[in-house]
Amino acid sequence: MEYLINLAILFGIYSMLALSLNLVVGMSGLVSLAQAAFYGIGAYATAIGMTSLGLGFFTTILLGMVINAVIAFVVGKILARFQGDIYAIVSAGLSIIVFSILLNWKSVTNGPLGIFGIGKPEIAGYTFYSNSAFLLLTLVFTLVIFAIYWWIDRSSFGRVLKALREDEKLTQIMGYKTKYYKSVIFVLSAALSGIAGSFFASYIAFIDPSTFQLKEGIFLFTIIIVGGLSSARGSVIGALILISLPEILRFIGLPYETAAQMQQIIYGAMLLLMMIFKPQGLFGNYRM
Amino acid sequence: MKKFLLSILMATALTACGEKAETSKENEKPVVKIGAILPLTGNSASLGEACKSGLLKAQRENKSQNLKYDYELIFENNLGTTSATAQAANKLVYQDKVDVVITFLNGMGYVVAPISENKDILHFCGTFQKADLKPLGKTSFVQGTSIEELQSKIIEVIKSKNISDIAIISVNFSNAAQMMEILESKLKKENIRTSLNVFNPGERDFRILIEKLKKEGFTHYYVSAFPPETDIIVKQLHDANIENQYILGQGIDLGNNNDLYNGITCFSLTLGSQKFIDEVSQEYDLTNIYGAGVNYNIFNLIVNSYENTPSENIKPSTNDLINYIKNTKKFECIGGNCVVSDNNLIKTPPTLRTYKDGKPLVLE
Repeated sequence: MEYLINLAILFGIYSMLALSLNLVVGMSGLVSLAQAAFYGIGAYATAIGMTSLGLGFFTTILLGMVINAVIAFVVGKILARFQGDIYAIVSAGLSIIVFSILLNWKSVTNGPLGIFGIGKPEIAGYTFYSNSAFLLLTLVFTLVIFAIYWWIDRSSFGRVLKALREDEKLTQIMGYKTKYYKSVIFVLSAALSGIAGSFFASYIAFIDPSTFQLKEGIFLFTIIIVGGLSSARGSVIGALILISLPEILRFIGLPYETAAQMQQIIYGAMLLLMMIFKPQGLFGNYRM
Repeated sequence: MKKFLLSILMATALTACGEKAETSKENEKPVVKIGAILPLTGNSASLGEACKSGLLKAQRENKSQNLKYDYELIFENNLGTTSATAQAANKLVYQDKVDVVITFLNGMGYVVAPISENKDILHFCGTFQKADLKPLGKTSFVQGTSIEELQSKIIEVIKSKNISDIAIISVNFSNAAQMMEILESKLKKENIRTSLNVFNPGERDFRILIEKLKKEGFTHYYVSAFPPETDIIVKQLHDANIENQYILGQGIDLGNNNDLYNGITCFSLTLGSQKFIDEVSQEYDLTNIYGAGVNYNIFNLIVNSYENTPSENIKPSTNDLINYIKNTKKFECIGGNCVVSDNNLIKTPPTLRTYKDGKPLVLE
């Protein structure tokens, strides 16, 4: 049971990330590979805030969200000028820059050695020390982000984003300032990713820059592609599949000499099959 | 779709609920389950395979002896990431109910330490050690070579070769760059001209850097990197006509092209004796043996502790095992004695080696 609880915590964290990414990619059609960067900034805000500044977990969540929002606002101004492949390349560049900063700004991030001993959340003297309590808190925040996604999806703001996704020029002709919409959703998505980063840092208790590389951004992208673009439940189901599948494969009894390699091959093959038979993802409302 | 999702949930739940027997069927000896979390795929796979080979070799050798317990190894892949390490640790601790967990490199040790401590399970992490390294936790031991001891050896060799200048090229990963910063300051104290050049993992072209260092008059180079960068740097040093004998490799470790390293002096944490290195290389068809020695030592230390700790129950408690290890203080290991300090650090001496005909040759 404890193992499943741990698995569920990771599922919750990746659901938050997938939901926030789907706001940008699925709902707005902006191919962003920068999510790992915001995830990392959130995680480092909590790690540094709790271990060096003596801040509480929830304060560090806010701190991470604010830092992410400011960075996303500045970068979003630049990104809003691009679309399609160029948007993806520039956002990947942001991910690489943030990784390099985390790796080399040793006086703040402790560089490649990372930060350990990150504490657990605490409210009014109660510490979420047990995994089941931590899971409960993770699921509450996941639900909040799910609700935010659901609300945007049904709002007039969300409808403009979808219009922008389908045809940006036409949306501009209709009188909407698309750059503004692109910036706002990018800032919101970045701030929400920071929450996931904070939870990850507290859960794992140790972080280093290697977790927040571009490949993590691609993994998050895979989650929403498999689950389905522009779909809240697709984001959650995508996270469920991509987090639980490797764990299921740990149990299939392959010979130990090649088990790790075989698990990776089977994992890759299953994703490939899923994309062949469900190219729009499991619950996708939009196909790239 | 619902069926598909349901099947995923069912599969996860079913696999997670399965438990294995705690005793072996052959002779009904109690089984000590040892879970090893290693990077078996990805960039660090060669490191993980070497660690795995060291453990398997120790397990095979111990099987032929008449021991109180059977020692079962369960390998889990962490892909070199912290999140996969946490999941692997949770699976081993809560599902497989292992008695001991083994990790490699500090970062992974930090992730597993709180999990093992929470369940009161013994944990060993193989790595380099810095003198001021904070202990991982009550139930965790760090086993490896101290940076201070390693660097004293490096300076001793540099001085014995009358080297007056040395350029350091180091990857900025784990504690490699930090180690090189310490080495740089020590070299300066010895009046050896030096230059520390740090690069980020994934860089491939070092030719401009090498040319710059050559122009600055550096004739000797110290490379501290992981594969494949190690191979790339050394190949590019060769291409720049820098003779083999002037290159001092850290060996964290070398890549898969050992012919590149003929004549180079390499320093590393304990690799073991020449006999051990030859055996591991041949038995498991390995070119990279870094980590095999440390894990071989860890496995034997676990066996030693279990076999010699008296217990009223089927197996000794974690507390008894920790006390046994701390009280014994010194264990016979390959590559010298393993010395246990009060803060759960187990020190082993560094290994100095060179390469001849593409094969590692232990110098000390």
